[in-house]
Amino acid sequence: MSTVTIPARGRFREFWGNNRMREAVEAYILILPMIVGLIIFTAGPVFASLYFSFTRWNLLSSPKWQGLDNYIELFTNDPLFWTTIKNTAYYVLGTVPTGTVLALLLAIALNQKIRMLAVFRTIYFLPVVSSVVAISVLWLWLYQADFGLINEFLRFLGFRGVRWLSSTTWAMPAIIIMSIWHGLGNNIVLFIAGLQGIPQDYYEAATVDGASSWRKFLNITIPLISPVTFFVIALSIINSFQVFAQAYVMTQGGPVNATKTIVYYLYQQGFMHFHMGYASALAYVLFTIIVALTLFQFWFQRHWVHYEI
Amino acid sequence: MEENSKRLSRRRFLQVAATGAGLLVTAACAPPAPQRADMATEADSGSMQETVELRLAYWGFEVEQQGLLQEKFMETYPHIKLQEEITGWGTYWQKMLTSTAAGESPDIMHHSPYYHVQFASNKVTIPLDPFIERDGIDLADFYEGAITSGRWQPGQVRTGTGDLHAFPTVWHSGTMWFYNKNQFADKGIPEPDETWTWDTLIDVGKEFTVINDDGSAESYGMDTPVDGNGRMNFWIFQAGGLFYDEDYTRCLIKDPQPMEAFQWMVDLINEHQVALPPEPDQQFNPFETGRVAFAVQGDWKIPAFARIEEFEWDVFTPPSHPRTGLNTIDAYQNGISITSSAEYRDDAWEYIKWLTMGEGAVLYAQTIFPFPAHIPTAENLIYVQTREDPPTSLWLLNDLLKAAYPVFLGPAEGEIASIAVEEQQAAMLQVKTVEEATDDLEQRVNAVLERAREELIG
Repeated sequence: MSTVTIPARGRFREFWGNNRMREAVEAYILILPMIVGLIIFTAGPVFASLYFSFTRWNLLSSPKWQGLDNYIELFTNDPLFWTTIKNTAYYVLGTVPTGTVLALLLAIALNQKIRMLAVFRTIYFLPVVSSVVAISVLWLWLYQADFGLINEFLRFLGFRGVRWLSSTTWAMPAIIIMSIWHGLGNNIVLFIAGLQGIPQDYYEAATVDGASSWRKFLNITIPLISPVTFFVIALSIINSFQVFAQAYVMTQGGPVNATKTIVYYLYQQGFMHFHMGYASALAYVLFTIIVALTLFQFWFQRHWVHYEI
Repeated sequence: MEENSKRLSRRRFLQVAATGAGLLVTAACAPPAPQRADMATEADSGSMQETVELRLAYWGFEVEQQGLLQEKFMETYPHIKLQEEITGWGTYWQKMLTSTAAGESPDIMHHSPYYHVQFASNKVTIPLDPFIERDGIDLADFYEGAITSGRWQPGQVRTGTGDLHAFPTVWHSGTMWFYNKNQFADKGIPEPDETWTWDTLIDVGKEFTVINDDGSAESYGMDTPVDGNGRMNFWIFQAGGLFYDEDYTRCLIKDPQPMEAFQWMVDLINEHQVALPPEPDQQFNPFETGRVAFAVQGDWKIPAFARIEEFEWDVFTPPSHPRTGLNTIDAYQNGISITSSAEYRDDAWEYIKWLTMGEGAVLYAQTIFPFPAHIPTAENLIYVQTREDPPTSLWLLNDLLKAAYPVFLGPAEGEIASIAVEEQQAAMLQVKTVEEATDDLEQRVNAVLERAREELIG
């Protein structure tokens, strides 16, 4: 039995002569810088922080392995952790449903044929492109208890002013209100895109059948923009769980931890108190919560999201 | 054909792109280039002809003036080039830690007592005593607390003894009492003086407090009764107590004197209603905006207050405790250190000497931070009775600063500060009773001290 040996150079020519293979190699070369960056600057820190979450590390000395101690401390001996979970859940529940419904209603309004439509759309979108830090400073003025505009307005209406950011009751609602205002424009744009994708035929047919506006909204608009609604809700939940800047700028997590969210607590532990191991454990708990919720949403969307038009 | 031949072919483009990417990755992964091929050893650095470069880190405070200061130094010492690394206070320590972890710490760093123990115990900063002995520096020329605050010895969880790791630039206080001269004149109330006690704060405070029917406040007697760092240490010292035990093994907040002080601080807001409840928005400084008649704040507010045009103001002697008669203030040093990675340590020391007791100390006090730790500079420049610009009565504080109680000597002062502020606020806002807040404060601070002790001593 004889075998035919193809020289190495010949194998390379055969491989390179194959268009599909050559294109694949070329494509990988083109995306190589991106992949290298991803590995070095994203994947590396992600896996490193997983390791650090099992250590005690203050950045100045070497990390000391301590197994699950950070996670056990978090779940069994750190009341502040549960406070931050509760605060973050409060924030998510405060911002996502209200923000989504408001954005949908405003998108419907801005999808009508009204005058100065572009101006209104721009006004609603402006906060999105503004720095959240700058906006937070602006709202600090608005919320000022003794001479802020919001309290002045409340007093004009005959109400007592509220110590917005100094009160454990009102500080989180104050941040929620500001955040909804800040994120509204983004969701409005998404909803408008969704609304404009609905064929007019459906509305015309429903009109011929005598459907009321409410019935058309309920049976045509809501189901047909459900993919956009799903996208908005999923993204809003992920973003809301990571809220930080507002609490950092406006309240520093106070008063008395009333606005201390998971990410703020993570920042405080890692970058103010230099408990990097503990902060890494917090980051992985947050990551797990977000992944679990997102997976649940993807599973649950089969029951209410309609992709076919 | 000719046009095509001038085009970059896909193959050529890929070759160039791959080569470029490879070079970039190689360059990024390569070790940093040496600063200079003929880099001097410590022994060589005495040569005045050779130019050396020092990396100097400080937090962003009067940055423009700091730049001028460094320029002045470089004019005086032309062989030393300072490369500034400026970061805001909020991120300065993150940068110091991460750059140290990366093996890239600066040669000279401005230091805060919040972190002395952490940096010294991890050998990030070096003892300065050999330089001091060699040059015959008389440490008696410095406020005593400013020197002891910079000392640390292995096996200790607090500063106070051992090698000097942070040479003091500034000795100052978060407990400075300011008053609005116009408000006192308008009410016909005599200006505050050394006869004031804690009780006077209530009596006079009531004269200035105006709360409207709708709950808004026109004005208060005083601002939130904590120091410029948000702490209540000075009330405790004046009541005759301490916050920690001598060895920093436990928090003493449940002792009678600290409890009296804690209750007093809360009562000023809720019982006597003469003090502003805590606010998060520090941008609306209550004294600066004329909302309070007098205030206890950090001395670092003086440059900002100097810009007030609406009213005249000054400082006054701190009110004393009616029983103990003490009007102790707390004080702490800002310092400057040489890091263990510094190669030109003699040159770094030259800068420290110039900044803390030479021409630089005068410039620093005149243009950046007016509270030198160097007593001759302080007494000739700051605590003089001939000051014309407010505060004209600053000289009153010189003796108080000499006897001031040093604070922030512990191993995790930054973390303990945030715990203390939280529990104080909980009581002030009536989220917790004084008993509950102090119970939690004691337990949380003790836990931090225990962990720090375990990390430092094992």
